[in-house]
Amino acid sequence: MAEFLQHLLNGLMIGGIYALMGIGLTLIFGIMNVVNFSHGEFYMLGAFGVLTLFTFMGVPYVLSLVLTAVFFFMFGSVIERLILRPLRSQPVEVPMLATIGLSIFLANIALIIWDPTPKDIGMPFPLVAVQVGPVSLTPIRLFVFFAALVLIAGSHLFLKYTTLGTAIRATFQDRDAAALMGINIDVVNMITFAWGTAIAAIAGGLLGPIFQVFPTMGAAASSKSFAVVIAGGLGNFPGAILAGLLLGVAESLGAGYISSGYRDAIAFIMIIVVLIFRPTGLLGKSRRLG
Amino acid sequence: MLQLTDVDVYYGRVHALKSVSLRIEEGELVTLVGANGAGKSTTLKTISGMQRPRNGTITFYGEDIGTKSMEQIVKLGIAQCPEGRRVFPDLTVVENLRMGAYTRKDKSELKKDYDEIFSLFPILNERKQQSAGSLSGGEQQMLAIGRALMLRPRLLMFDEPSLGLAPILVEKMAEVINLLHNRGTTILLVEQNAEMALRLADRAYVLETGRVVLEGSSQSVLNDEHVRSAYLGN
Repeated sequence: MAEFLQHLLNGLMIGGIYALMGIGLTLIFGIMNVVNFSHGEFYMLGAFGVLTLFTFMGVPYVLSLVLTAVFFFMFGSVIERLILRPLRSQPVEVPMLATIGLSIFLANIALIIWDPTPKDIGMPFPLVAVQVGPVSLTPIRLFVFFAALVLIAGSHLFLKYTTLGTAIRATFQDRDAAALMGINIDVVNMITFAWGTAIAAIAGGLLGPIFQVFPTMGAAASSKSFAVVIAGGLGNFPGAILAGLLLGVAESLGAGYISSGYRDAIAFIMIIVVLIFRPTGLLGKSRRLG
Repeated sequence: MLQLTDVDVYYGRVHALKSVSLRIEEGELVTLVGANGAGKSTTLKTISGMQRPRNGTITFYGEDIGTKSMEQIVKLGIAQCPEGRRVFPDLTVVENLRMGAYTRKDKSELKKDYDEIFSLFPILNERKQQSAGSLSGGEQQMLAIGRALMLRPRLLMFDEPSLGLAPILVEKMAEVINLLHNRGTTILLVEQNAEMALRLADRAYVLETGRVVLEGSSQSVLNDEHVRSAYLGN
């Protein structure tokens, strides 16, 4: 029982990060109709951002995360403006190919700057585990889980209760009608992409201290994110959260009870099962936001 | 206040509007009459900036709006109640109304407008926390009108407000449009139901294959023999 709970909690922590990656990717798809293959590279760069600031420059960990988020929000805005906006009237595969190109470019830039050897960010928090009943939790894992929770809840509250968030949901539901309300679709697209980029970068910075950081780590993160988005239903915000948490728990239990070699296969098993039994995603309805 | 002069619009190679000129004065209710594909909706889309004129000018209170963005055009006070209602289905009634006022700066004034819309359409008040997608067709049409009114528009454009509604609701829409007109709202009405449109309007333009073929007071258009046989069925 204690072992099960331990796997469950570890799974929820990783799952929170998958959910973060998933909501960014699913909103970018739902609002901009862009299949973003560079999502994993934003995650990777976020981890390197924290490595540079926290490990190399000695900036406090939480501040490193905030600075990384701010930088990648701006970075995402620039990518939207320079690469995606000019391609907006093109068929969906054109911006998709552009993001594939961008992901290759970013991974190679990271190789040049940081070389391919995996690096340790180091522990921002004391290593002593907190004993809660039968399970033990390290402070970093607790921090990661609560940070993911706060960011997901914050994103939800923003979409639900602010005028701009409501405008983003309106654009998601009917782009032309939103434009008739005077909602600037370019601004909505830019904010969506910038926010998704920043949140992927934070996810990388959060998991960085738990795993190692290396330039090709984005590929696995991308495929997990796509698993979450597909299982949750394309463009489905609550679906992505649910699928992210489920994937984290399934991976953790699978690795614990079957074999850790199967960890990465579980995401794909999840996609296949969902596509067979619930082709529109776990929550059934394919168009829903906030 | 609104003036289109020799406007040409193309969809790819299709010449959708051919040298269309029309004007609307403050407080007027003007209607565009014509068959499917005559260019009525295209005219509205061109005014709201969704389509661009290739030639010709569109001015609103003397200002050229033919090259302005949709956002800028809405900010000038041109609201549209689009064909097929186009309410945001997963937003609540109140959120839909709030989107209608998206570009308004005087957010503190909104309360008054909500009250006014709820007194015009009490059913929306009862359903204000329901998602718009759960409303009936008639209720959605009321919401679409309310949403357009939230802009406090200087020009309100209706695209086929009676389309797909039961006869009793068509009558209700006619009443509402008439009421708004009597309050002094300037209205451009596009309506397949020519009989209803001409009954409500001060002046009318008849469009055929992208061209204005007849214009004049509603009465004179109603009495035109070609219009009677082509659009009124007698």
